[in-house]
Amino acid sequence: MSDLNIMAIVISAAVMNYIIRVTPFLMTNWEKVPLAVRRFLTIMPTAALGALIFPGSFTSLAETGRPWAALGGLGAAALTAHYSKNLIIPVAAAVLTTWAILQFP
Amino acid sequence: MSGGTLTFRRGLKDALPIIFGYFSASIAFGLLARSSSLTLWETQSFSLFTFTGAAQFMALNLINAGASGPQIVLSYGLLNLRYLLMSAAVAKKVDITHFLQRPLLAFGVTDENFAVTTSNEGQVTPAYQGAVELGPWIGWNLGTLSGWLFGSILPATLSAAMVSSLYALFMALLLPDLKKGLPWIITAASAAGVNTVLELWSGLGSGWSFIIAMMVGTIIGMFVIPAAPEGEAA
Repeated sequence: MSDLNIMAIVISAAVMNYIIRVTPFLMTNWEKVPLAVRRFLTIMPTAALGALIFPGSFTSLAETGRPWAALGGLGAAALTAHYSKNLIIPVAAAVLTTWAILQFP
Repeated sequence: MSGGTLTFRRGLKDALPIIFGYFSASIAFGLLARSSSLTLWETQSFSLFTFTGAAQFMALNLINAGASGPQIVLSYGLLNLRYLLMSAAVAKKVDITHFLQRPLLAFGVTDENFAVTTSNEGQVTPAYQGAVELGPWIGWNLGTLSGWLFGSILPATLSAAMVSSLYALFMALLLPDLKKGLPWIITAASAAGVNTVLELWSGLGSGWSFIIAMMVGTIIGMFVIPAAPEGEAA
């Protein structure tokens, strides 16, 4: 479907990923990184997660014709994650809820 | 999670929920990768060598959306920049006893095992950290393999629903941030809003939409979130 070289992407991504992960392990003076940079990096996961969930959770269900079913899954995940730290519970709750919604004729 | 000796075994026990969560989420990855016409080896390589849940799904989305290679790799890097902080927190937490442990233990840091490791009261042993990374890595790879091989056996509605496992994982990870208060909600919501608008209506493509949304959300966050008294990663 596309002429992308997937393995080149995997290798580049793996190398970059590893550099990101290993740098702090090799650094001994992490405290010297400017505060603004550390702040940016602390806040970015929150923004990233927001952008990861919307609109992806809805568009991923486009083929089913019921993208709004994502609301059920996200709601179930948020509700169960509120009460449990165990990640598998929100995952299971979301799959079951979404599946149940998609079952309705 | 405190007390007891932080052995390899103890690490596996603490990592068990992650192992299960990763296994089910990566089934969706394997399945989705196959339906995006990736070969088994290409699919498995993503999980073996990059081991990064959210970014792997994002890569599939970008591949399907027709993004270019450099765009995908750049998005990967931007999305995973957060590991700089997580790795730093984990690196400080592990009592390194041999210099080779640094490059080895750096490989498998993820959002979830970072959270488990840092939830321990004191320092952790390299064996413990090794288990907390290795267990989920195996779970993630077995799930990827199963999803690619057998995912298509699942009914269409179930496999569509299984993709929601990832978004559930994201939601479960985001929820503690949202509970920190309105500024955090604004941060996530602005990134979500910008991404939705750009992706659906701008014609920029998912790659750039996501990068711009993440940057805009973070910058807004830097304005609205009060500075922590100590610049420590939470």
